[in-house]
Amino acid sequence: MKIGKKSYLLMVIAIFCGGIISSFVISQFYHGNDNNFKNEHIISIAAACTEIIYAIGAGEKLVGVDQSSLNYALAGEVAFQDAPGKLGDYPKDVPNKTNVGTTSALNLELVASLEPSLVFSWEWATTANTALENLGLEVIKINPQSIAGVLNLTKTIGGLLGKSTEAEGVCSEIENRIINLTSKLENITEAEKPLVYYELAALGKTIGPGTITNEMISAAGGVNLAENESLRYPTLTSEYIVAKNPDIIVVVSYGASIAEIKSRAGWGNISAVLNDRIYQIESGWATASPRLVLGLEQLSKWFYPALW
Amino acid sequence: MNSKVKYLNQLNLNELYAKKRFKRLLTFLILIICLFLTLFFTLMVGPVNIPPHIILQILFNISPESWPPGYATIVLDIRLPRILLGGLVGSALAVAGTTMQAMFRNPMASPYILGISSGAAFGAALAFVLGLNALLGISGVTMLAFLFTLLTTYLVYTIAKGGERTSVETLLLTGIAVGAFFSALVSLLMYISGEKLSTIWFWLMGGLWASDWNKLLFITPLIILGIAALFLVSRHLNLLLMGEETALNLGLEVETFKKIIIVLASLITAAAVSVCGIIGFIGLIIPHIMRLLVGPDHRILLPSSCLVGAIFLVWVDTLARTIIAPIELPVGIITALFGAPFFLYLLRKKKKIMGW
Repeated sequence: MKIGKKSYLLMVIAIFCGGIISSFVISQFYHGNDNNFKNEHIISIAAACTEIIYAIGAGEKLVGVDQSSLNYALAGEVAFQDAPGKLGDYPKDVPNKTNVGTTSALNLELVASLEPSLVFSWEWATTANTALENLGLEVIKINPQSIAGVLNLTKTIGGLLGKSTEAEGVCSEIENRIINLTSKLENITEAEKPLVYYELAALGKTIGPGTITNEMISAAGGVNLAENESLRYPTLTSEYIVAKNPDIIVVVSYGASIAEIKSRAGWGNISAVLNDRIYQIESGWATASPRLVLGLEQLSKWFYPALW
Repeated sequence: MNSKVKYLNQLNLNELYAKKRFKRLLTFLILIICLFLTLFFTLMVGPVNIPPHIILQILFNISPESWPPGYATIVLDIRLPRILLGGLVGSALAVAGTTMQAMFRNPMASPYILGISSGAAFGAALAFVLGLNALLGISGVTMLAFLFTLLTTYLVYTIAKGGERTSVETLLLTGIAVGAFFSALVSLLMYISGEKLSTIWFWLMGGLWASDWNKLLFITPLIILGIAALFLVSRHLNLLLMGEETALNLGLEVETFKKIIIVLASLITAAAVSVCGIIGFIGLIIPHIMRLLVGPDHRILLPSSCLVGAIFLVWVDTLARTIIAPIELPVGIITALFGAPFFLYLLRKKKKIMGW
């Protein structure tokens, strides 16, 4: 037994020494945030920023983008037709950029190897942002939640990338198109406005107040079914939607098919189903990016086909 | 009769002990060499190919002008902390799992058995939803996950404690109930999280992608001290395996000992979980695999589980970051995908001598 005790003690001592040595090694390698990246290269892991960067014609400054920026390009050129500024280049250009992973699991090694001078990221991607800042990178955190927020962000990015004039141009294009749309809706009374149910990935999953899509629906002259819910992304029951009897159903492109919605139990008598007013919207048109103007125009055309 | 006496006479206990000790030492030596080789080889693997001699030059800072400055960042600030963190977390989970299995005398026990994974998940989800900022370079998610893991352990122990004796069955059930409660809260937070949903979801599956030196500085002392303390008491774990009453009769202060075990195992699990999310499977399977390979004696089982846990997680994490690069696969998916078949193979091959 004595032998066992001795080897035991030795093991513990060895482990403690290991601990001390490893701490020492760590402190040797730890040299804080003193990296200096002088290149003018930028990375965007926020798809909204990637689109804005393209719209203001600064796409060539991008060296890396995240997976969802690439996913937007998969929708093809149709999804970018008539987009503001130079956003039309997006679908053929973005696939050539280095994919640095997803916001929830960034490939830090690739990010570092691209030596960016600036990284655009979502405000809520806290894990990624901390990791990037610990690498000594400058991170611009964004989270626009309104049409005005997107316009402001466009100007901010324009300033950061030396494209202020282009950014102003994109903003005034968006503003003019919105003014044009609003002028068409001038004579619409509250009673005429259609009740709109906007469906995300699953039955009842919809957008509530405080989301950009909610603002878009009302700007396009509709009333969002869930505009008074307490959550930003509530899930409504099928029964409630049927009882509310929406005039129009809009479903995102990655959600259910129109045939599937029509065949749902009890949905046959909803006025949107009876009048065949169920539409599928390109998901990139209803998010915080310059393409929201395409979404606005499309929604308005569906709501008031006679005015366009 | 005659042959038996003869056999006993030939039996040299000292020689047997020496043989056993030599075998044990050899096992450790081989595992330690494996660990160092693992650390070095995985350091070379990644989206950016860096030849081994450059890696050595970077590690020991020899002729800094011969490699691009970006390489140093990749090796020293991204790969090295990630690999070291993976090793530490793998060791912590394997050791905590072995300890919990011994204490509960239950092959289903894992480091998360006291519901602490749900507590950690709740802390992390809360930090994501509140959008807590980093403090001293350590993210709010890490801090809240760590605090809630310890809080859950305290809660479970306090609720389960009844008078003189805390039965492991009550602990187990309390852990399940408290875990279910926190799981429900996590689901609630995920429901109201909006855009942050994917971030929380990814954290729940575990991953080492956001490793940095700050996290390493935070968990290294906790895990190394915790594991060392558990090594110190590994002999008593053997007693506990014989049943609590037997252990008590053999002079072990069972109640105090259980408390110590719970505190230490939870501490190292909390440290591990707080930096990399909930990586399942390692804490459950590595102890079983090692029990099949080196036997149930905790004086050997605990250190070898520690080393193999580290080796296993570092390799698995290397797969996670390269298999569909640049996209990262959650490491928990691979631990189960590769670990489960291997474990089943061992179980079938050696089921007769399974040490329970």
